[in-house]
Order: sequence, then structure tokens, then C-alpha cells
Amino acid sequence: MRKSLFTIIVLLLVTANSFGQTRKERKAMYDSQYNYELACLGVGNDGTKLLKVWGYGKKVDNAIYDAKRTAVAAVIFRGVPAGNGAAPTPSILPVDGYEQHLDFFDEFFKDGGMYLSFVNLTTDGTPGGSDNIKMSHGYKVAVAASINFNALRKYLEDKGVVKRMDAGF
Amino acid sequence: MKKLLFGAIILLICSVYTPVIQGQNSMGASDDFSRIAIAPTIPDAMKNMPKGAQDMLLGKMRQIIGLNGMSALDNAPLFIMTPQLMVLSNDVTPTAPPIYTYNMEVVLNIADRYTGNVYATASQQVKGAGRTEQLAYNNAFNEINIMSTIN
Amino acid sequence: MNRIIFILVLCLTTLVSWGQAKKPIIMIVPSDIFCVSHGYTTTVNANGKDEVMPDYKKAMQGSDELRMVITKMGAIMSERGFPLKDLEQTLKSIDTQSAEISMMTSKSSSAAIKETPIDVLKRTAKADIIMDIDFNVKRQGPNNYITFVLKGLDAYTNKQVAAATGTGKPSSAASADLLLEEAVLSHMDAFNGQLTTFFNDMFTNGREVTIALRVWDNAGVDFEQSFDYKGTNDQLSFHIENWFTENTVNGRFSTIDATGTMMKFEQVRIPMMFNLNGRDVAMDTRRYINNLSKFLSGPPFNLDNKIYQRGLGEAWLIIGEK
Repeated sequence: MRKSLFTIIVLLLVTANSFGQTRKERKAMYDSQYNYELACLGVGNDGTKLLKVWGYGKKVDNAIYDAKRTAVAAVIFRGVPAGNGAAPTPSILPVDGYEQHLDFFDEFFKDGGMYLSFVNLTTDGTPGGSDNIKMSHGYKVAVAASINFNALRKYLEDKGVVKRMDAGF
Repeated sequence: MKKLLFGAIILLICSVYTPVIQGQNSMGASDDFSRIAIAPTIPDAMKNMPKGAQDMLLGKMRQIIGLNGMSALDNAPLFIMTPQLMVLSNDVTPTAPPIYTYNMEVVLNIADRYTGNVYATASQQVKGAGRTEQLAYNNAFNEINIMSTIN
Repeated sequence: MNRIIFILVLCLTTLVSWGQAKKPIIMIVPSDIFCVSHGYTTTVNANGKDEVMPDYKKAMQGSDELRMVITKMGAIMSERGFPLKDLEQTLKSIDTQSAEISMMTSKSSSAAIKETPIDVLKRTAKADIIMDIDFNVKRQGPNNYITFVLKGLDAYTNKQVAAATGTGKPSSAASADLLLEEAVLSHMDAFNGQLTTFFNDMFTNGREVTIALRVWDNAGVDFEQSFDYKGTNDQLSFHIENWFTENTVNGRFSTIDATGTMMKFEQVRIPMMFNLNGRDVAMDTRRYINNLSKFLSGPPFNLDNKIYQRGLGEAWLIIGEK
């Protein structure tokens, strides 16, 4: 009896540990600022990029706000992948650009920050179906966004965060 | 006596008033330049050259002949000046616009119109470039130094 | 008194301004294959051989799609700080220039403008970076789609410095013009990204240029002649290579060819700027090769020479005389 109890406890602890590591990894992934989930929806109008981007949040609205922020951050630090007839777009800054300009981007991406002026949502209302997934800690929501790419790049150039293409000439 | 005197007077008059008869002109016997006339011609082999270029070359040859006072008054004198072109290189650049370039040797021959015998020759290397073939030829022929080709 | 000196020093330091490097000229040119496939060609005879050459004027006058693409790309490049040199306008300008040169005479003696065949040869549309473009509207059943190829070529090194190529999404609704516009919008960012990388490399590692050395036929000297320079007796060609080692960025250059009468150097990395009387001034190949010219003009070589510039990134030095 004691032996069986001991074995069960040991097994439970081992299992608990392995579940704990997977949760940590998942949490690390969700919390990571580099976790951008997006897809290209096609060629946007002059100076814009059309993306489908996923955001996370406790409520659907929070997830939508997160998606907006992710859209702008992805365009700046990751670039836009190819898709739906559109060629890939390189990122405006390298992947570690946030760390290189920490103060600027903390201000830029704060709640209600400047980033909002470069993103327009083209999804009407609350996303439904596979674009709105309820998860254990909240919601994963996908929205279609149009990023004003040229204006965003120009803004970053004017702020001295990005070098102009003709800098030095 | 009267007959002899009359005859002597007639002889005297004849010796003074008889025009001098000469077999040649009034110039010195060795002055051939005054007697020779040369007409410039473009040979048939060069007729496929642009018309403007042919006229340019013809004009140059006339200038050379005229400077030496040997221009022909009629269209068919015995002597002609004919050009010969030896194209050393001819390129067209793959640029916008394409430029034609000619590097050639222009040989001018003075020859007998009927027998084809060449009596004198002079040559000059010329280079020309232009947006058209005619312009390239013209620029090349423009380099011909009319003062130096005939002694 | 100290304040006056301080102000004076401030004024002097502000006079030392930051110089800027020579900005490359960019021009869009339709590719040979575009011109040939659309019939915009002319046949010329060169050295006894008939050659088909692209007729850019005909292409500009005949293809409204090409005009639309060039205009769209020009707008994008202009926004990035590189207004493009327009090929059509340049060709017109060249025609006008030629006429003006042939008409112009001086007031005092009616002298005409002196023009050598080389001057005529150089009167063409030139750019430092050529955007070579080719596109085709193709059909797949009821749908149209675009194939788009854009190459950025360095006119002097002949290297491809940027490229964008792809096939657009087939569409039955969109017109060919709209599909072309989409193709341009889709590809230009990636193209400009690569161009930016090229420019950054230029500022980090120096501008890549091509230099050729030649000899006049009456020079009386060639590159195999030996000279004693700084205690080293060697052929002229090796003294020149040593000079390049000391005067290029990180000693980077490649000797492509070296004969008695010709030397060709490619991938020569020259600094973007040089110091002139305390000011940073932009360097180009002509300025750079002037230093080599002075080196060869001085002892022990004492070789008179001529600099012939072929653009921002290529120059020749001809030994013997001016």
C-alpha cells in the first residue's frame, strides 16, 4: 500500500513537472514580443500593406488592440511575408530594433500610442468563426489590417530611428 | 633692183607683222598644272554610302582640287579624283541612343578616267562618331585636311 | 577677450562642414528582351555583321504600359530620395544638345565648338545604377497575370546589386494596367531594401569601382618595364599593384588582367570621402585615379599620363602622354 502510494506520488510529481515545463514554454511564447502571427492578404493600395494579424487578450476587445499593436510591430521588426500575389516586404528595422531604440518604442507602443495612427482595421465588427478562438487564458482573435507603410517609415526616418535610403549622399 | 628692194621690204614687213606660230600655249613648256583639269567622282562601289556622306566627300575632293586650281569646267575631263575607303573598324554602341563610329583610312587617287591608271595617291586616317551612319561618316570626312593631301 | 576667442573658435569649427558622398544616378531602362519581344528594335551593320539593337525611343513612344510602370516606379523612388533620370527626356535632351552644339559659334571669330569623336560617343543617356525592367502580361484561361523582372545593375562593375522578380496573382477582373501597378507596388519595397543594403555596404567598405590602365602606342614604356622604387626593383605593374594595396579600403581590389600594354582592376574599393583643405569631400573614381596619376608622374617613374573618366565608378589611365 505504502509502496503503491509512493509510486503514485512520484509519478504525479514527474508528470506535474513535465506539464509545468510545457506551460512555461507556452507562456514564454505567448509573452514574447517577437511572437508575431500574421499573413499577407494581397497587394495593398499605394503605400499600404494588407495583413491578417492575430492578437491575444483576456477579452475580444483586448485581443483586437493587441492585434493592432502586433501588426505595426511586425511590419517594423519582422517584415511582411509573401502571399496572395504580393511579394515579401522586408522589415524597416532589424529584429532587435526595439532594444536598440527602447525609449522611443516604449513610448510609441504604449496604450493609445502613436502606433495607432498607422493602422486601420478592415474587419467589420467582431471577428467570428476561426478568427475568434477562445483559449484557456483569453481569446486569440484575427483581424484584417491595413498598415500605412510609407507614412510609418517616413515617421521613423524623421525621428532618426531609421536611416533614409539616401542618407550619406 | 626695184624687184629685190620690194621683195626685201615685203620680207621686212612680214618678219615684223607675221604672228608667231607655236605648237603649244603661251606658257612655259614645263607648266602642266595649267593644262590639267580633274573632276571628283564617287565610284559605284561607294554608292551604298548615305547620300549626305557621299556629298560631303565629293565636296572635300572639290575643295582639294579647287585649292590647286585644277577644277574641271566640263563634266568629263580626262583625269578624275576617286576616293577609296578602308574601314579599319566600325562599331555601333549599345547605348541610348546608339552611336555609330568609323575608324577608316581615306585614300584619294588621281586616275585616268578611261584607262584607270592611277597617277597620284594620298591617304589620311580619319575617325568619326555620330547618332546616325551619315553623321558618323560626315564627322570622319570633316577631318580630311584639304591643305595636306596634294603637294 | 577669452569670450571673443571662444566665439571665433566656434565659428571656425562650424565652417568645417560634413561633406556628402556622390549620389548615384538611377535610371529605368527597358530590358533588351522587352524591346525585342515587343518589336522595339533597329538593325544595324557593325563590322560587317548585322546586329539587332533595342530602340529605346520607339519603346517609349510605343508602349503606354512601359510609361505607366516607369512613372509609378519613379514616384516610389523619388519618395525614397532618389528621383530617377528619365530615359525619354534624356534622349530628347541629347537631340537638342547635338543641334545646339552644331549651331553654336563664337561672336568674335565665328569659331565652332570643338568636338572630338569621343565627345560624341559620350553624349548618351548614362546612369550609375540601371533599373533593367521586363514584364509580360500573360493569360491563363480567362485570367490575366503579370510576370515581372526588375534588376538593379551597377553600370561600372556590371554587378546585379538588387533584384525583384515574381508572378502576380491571376485575375479575370483586373485590367493589365492594374495588374502592372500591383506588381510594381508589390516588388518595389523588397528591391529598395536590397538597394539600401548595397548603399550601406558602400559606406562601410568603400565604393566598388573599375579601373583600367592602358598605354599610348608611342609611349615608349609598358607595364613590364622595371623601376626601382623605395629600394624595390620590380616591374611597373607590381609597383602599381602595391599602390592599390596601400590606397584602397582594407587593401581590397582584384587584378583581372595584366599585360605589357593593359591592366584591369575590378572590385577596387575606394573611400567615399577624402579630405580637401580640412573639408570632407566626396570621392569619385576620377579623383581617386588622379592620385595614381600623380604617383606615376613623379620619380622614379616620370610617366606622363591621361585620365579618362567613364562615369562615377570607372576611369582609365593612359600612360605616355596627355
